[in-house]
Amino acid sequence: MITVYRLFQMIMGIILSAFILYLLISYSGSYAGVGRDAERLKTIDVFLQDSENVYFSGNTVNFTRFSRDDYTSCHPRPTTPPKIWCFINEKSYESKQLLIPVLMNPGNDVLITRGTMDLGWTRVDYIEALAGMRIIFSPLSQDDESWNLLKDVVLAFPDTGGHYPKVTLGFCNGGEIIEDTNDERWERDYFSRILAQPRGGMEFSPCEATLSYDQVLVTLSDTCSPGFSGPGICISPPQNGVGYAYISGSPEAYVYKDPVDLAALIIGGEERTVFGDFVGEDTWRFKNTLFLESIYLAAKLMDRRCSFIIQHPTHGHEDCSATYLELQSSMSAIEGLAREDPSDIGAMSSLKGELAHAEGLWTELLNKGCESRV
Amino acid sequence: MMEYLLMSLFILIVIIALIFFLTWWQSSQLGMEQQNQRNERVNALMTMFINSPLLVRENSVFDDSKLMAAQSLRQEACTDLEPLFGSDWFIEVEILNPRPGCAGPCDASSYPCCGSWNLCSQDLRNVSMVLPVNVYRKYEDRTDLALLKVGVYS
Repeated sequence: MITVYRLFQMIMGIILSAFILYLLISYSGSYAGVGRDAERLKTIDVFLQDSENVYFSGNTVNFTRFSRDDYTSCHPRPTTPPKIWCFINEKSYESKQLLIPVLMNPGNDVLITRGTMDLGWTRVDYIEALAGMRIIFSPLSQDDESWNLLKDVVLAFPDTGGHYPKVTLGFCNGGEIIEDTNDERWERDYFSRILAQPRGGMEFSPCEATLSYDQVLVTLSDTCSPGFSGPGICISPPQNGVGYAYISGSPEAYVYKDPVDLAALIIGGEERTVFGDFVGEDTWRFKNTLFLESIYLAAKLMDRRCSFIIQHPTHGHEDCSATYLELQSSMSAIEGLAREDPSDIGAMSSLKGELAHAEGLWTELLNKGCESRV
Repeated sequence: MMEYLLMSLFILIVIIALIFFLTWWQSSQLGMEQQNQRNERVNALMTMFINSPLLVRENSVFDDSKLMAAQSLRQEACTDLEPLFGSDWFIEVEILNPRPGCAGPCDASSYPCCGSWNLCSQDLRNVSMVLPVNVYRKYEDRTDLALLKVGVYS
């Protein structure tokens, strides 16, 4: 027979054990959660540090720390300030403020490379952090401007020769995908040499081939329109270097004015975030936020610099003032245009024209010896 | 009965002490991490400034006409540069061994007889780093040695 005292001992024992067990489990559970979150944030932070190192040094880096978890959802978002955003195991993670343009398509292994858009009077560098990608072009437009655009878009991607993972390029013609010679896939420099040959009546028919998960189809066609049904990205032929591109399934039209706009759409692609946005659209908006900000600021400073140089001409170069004055007025125009909406094709067309004009003036300054090539 | 209660109490005290220790350890780690991040930020800013085409002629060679242009924007420059360099930073460039009488701060009236530029400087506590750089003097078409000081306000 159990005594009352024994019963009291048992109940007290159960209560205390349950309490201790609860404390231990809840604390170690939340502690483990915090540790896991910290590790993921640290991984994103280390990725950003490596990207910054590549941005400043130009040395390519193979980043492997994404293999510890599923970071494929990570991409830049055009928030204020812009940040890298990831969604891992039902939880979202944000990086610190992104100060450099990072276009990313992460996987287990990521190759981080630097690209440059040279405008003559300034340059805008950007980072591409890419897992293995196979970009397949379907150039259905027959005009030379589209072929030249294709050449420029290819140059916006890194040449991965001697590195891993690889970014390879190819064509789709009807049901056939052509992307290698003797089983060796074409990388950027080799593919550029193919494109450098005259088009010579080469004709392509609409792509009907079945694509694998790592292949991205890029169609150049007069028939591209919002919400097109085919896979990948569809690009309308450019007019004076500016045009529209579309993401499969998206009702939006995205203006492109330089090859990096198209690279952003291709890298982001047609994947959707948990909010239903297209990663390609986020990447395109983010690219434009930072690029236009850089161009605005560079133009504003160059505007002031021109005014300053006109007041204090370098000895022996007093005849440069007229060109500096013209460059200053071009800079004022660029300042205004860089503040316009990147979706406004009229404004972006004017910006493209003004940037070309400024580049011409800069070349004139270089030729006159007013500025020196470095 | 008493020994069981004491034992339970003892276990509870050990667990609570462990929780306090882990929390303290975590927060001290956070403090150290914060300090490291501040140092890393100064380092990153230094690299950004010596490479930025907005201020340099080539890597580590500042262009004095670009510095003058940025300085002429005064406080506006700090706000404008925020999307590219973040907030709460400052830079100072000071020419080493300037010509006699030309060591003062540069502005529209003192140029070219001047030897220092500063952007976004405030009288606040800060963490900074100093690096030797070159400054290209556009007006005189020559290059001077200078010290670059980059810092963040803490």
